[in-house]
Amino acid sequence: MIKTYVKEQSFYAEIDNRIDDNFQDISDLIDLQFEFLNSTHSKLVILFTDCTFINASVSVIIGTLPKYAYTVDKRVNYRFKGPSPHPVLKFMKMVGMYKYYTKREIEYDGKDAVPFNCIRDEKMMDEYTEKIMELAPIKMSKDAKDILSSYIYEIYQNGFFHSKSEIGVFTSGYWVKEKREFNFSIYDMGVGIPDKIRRHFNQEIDSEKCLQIAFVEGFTTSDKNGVSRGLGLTRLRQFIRLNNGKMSIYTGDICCIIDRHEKEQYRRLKNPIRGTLIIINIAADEKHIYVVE
Amino acid sequence: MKTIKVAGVIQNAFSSEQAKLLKSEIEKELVMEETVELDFTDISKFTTLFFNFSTGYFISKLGKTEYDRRIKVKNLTKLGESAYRNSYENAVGDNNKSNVEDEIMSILSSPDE
Repeated sequence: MIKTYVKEQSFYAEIDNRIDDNFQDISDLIDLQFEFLNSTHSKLVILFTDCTFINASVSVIIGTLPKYAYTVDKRVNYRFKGPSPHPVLKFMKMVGMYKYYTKREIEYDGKDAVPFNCIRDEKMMDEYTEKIMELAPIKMSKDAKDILSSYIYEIYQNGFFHSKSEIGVFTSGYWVKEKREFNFSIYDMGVGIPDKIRRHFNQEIDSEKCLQIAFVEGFTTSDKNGVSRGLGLTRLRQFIRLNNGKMSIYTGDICCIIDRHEKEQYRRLKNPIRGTLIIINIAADEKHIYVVE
Repeated sequence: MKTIKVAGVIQNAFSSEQAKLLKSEIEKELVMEETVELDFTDISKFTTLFFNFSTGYFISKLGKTEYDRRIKVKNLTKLGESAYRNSYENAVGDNNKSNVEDEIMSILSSPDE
């Protein structure tokens, strides 16, 4: 639950509960992003009062907001009220968000965290993918590592090459040892998938239909080098389904959830998200053999 | 036929930069050789985009028939085969263009939710 109000010309948002990776919590953050960026207020203060937990994959929405706001001449402040050390500040230190913004070296105890960062080029994608695999708290066979790292890299590439995001592509995540799961997200604040499809066809198309088109096998867009390529979603969907994972895509005013079920589930967002957020949950079990078709 | 040992040119088949290195090698060989074989032994990491920017370029340039005649690939892992096939099918999309268009038309003409 996020309470918003205006005080002394600034936009305030009070977050007084957990933020999990469910549709409602993510929608609330998207509403906050939309309301602030579309308001006349130049400053947003996010107050973490009784908030005790933020899901690492979802934290990219909060983490990218100051960066994007800066490009449109707005500012974002985080404030922490309550117990010291505040659990959210501690979390931000653990996932690398604190270090990213302050550039300060801190004691880093998030050994299972994929540090929050901006992926700016392919070299960084390569280094980051390696880092993610090194952080894995489980032993995987070489084949499993090759497959998982190739798909992680491909997810970064899709975000990086298709979004044309001015501020780069952000990532964050966590190896959840107890649940034997790897959760991570990639978020760009560039052109969302529905707008990309609408531009391709040069017509107004409903967002849900846009995503359905993006999933059509063989649907391609061409870049200026004449290289035909799809949006990469069909292949990712196949990998997620074959490996009992889950992928949630928030783009435009639509959320699409892909899991082991045959059909994607679509949910409409009250306000559109800027760009595309993809959250991946995938089994990370030493006994798990990743399958490709 | 000239065989290019891909592992001698790049370490893995991930990025567009690596793809461009391989593309240059293929281009050089195609000037002198009628057919070129790409041997992917010792390459174990692949992305579709890598193939889009390397072999995909030649599919667009030569056309499917000429590409199939002049460029061969061998020793791909299962992952490599899957990424290559995905890229190949996207690049030769004209072959099943009518199916793709039919599917898109069916989506566009269905009532909005």
